[in-house]
Amino acid sequence: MISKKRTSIKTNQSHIKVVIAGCGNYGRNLAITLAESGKEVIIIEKNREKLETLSKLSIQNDLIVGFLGDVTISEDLLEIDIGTADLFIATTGSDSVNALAAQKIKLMYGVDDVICIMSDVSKQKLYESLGIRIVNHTEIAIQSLIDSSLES
Amino acid sequence: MNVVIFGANKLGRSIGDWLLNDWHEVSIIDDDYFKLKDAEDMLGSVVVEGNATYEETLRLAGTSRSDIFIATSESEAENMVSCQMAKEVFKVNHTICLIYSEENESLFQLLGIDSVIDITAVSLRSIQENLSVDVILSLMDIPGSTSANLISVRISEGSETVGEILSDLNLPNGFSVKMIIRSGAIIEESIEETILRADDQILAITDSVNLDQLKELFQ
Repeated sequence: MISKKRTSIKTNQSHIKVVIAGCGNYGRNLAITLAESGKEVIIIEKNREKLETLSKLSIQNDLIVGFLGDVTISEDLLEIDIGTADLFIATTGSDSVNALAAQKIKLMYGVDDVICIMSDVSKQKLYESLGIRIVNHTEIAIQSLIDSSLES
Repeated sequence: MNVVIFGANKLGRSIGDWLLNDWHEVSIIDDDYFKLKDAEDMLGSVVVEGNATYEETLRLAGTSRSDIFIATSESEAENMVSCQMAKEVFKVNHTICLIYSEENESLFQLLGIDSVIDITAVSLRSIQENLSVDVILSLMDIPGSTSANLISVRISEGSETVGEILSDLNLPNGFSVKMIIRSGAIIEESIEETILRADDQILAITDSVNLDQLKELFQ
């Protein structure tokens, strides 16, 4: 289900609410996994085509709501009621946009638990020291390559 | 001084040019080859190619020994990250970040970026000054104060204050006139006794003054 701007998004009190920025491969698959474990998921994405890939999902996905908007803009964040989120995960293709969104949502909207996907290792320490959890996909890929080459 | 600039666009290059003319040391970072080429043609070998949000690029540009870091790229998010890296990792004394709307101004200040400059607001102010449509213009916030402003009041021909002595006007508390500009000359002495004329421009510091009220007074 895709929600356009200016429609209210119903929030169900009993679910854990997760907001994901970015509806690329990371965001979409993360949303499916979280929804399958019963979490309520809102994906915010500014590219309409990417967002529409949600409607092709085969799983029963009442729990995933797509929202067309910009995660760095307050107006859009207020529209999805960001302050009520239990967890925010930034998965856009830009480390910088992820860092901006994560800090904004933590500091301005009081969402304590924020996770940021990054590809550059050198920024990790800085943002971890600011209370943002960093998942570095370069590091993970390298680690799993090392692990699998040791096994063989 | 040692200055690192992120963004080899027109603004970044102009800042670089200005600083080099004053004999400061300058490096300019960008990841766009063509912009860097322009910068190199204009300013010489001051360019560093790379992503300014990466520690390695910032190191190559000499950020660790720089006094000032200025982010002028088109991306607000990258400007933010590069300033945070410069400040927190390289301990740069003064970081300056360009933004294009007021949307992120307070967030960036909260993050410890020393100067956050809203390009849109600066341009708008300049256009307003040129058109002088408004009687009252806020020229700048007084640094370090949350409520004080430098403002300009233009006395229009039809204003009721024309012919009045400034001190006779019912000026609000916190409104302190610093100078009057009349036909290109500055009146700084005995301002309080000046009789106002049409087209006078009053420069004043205001502290917690309601600008709408002020507008009414000078209308």
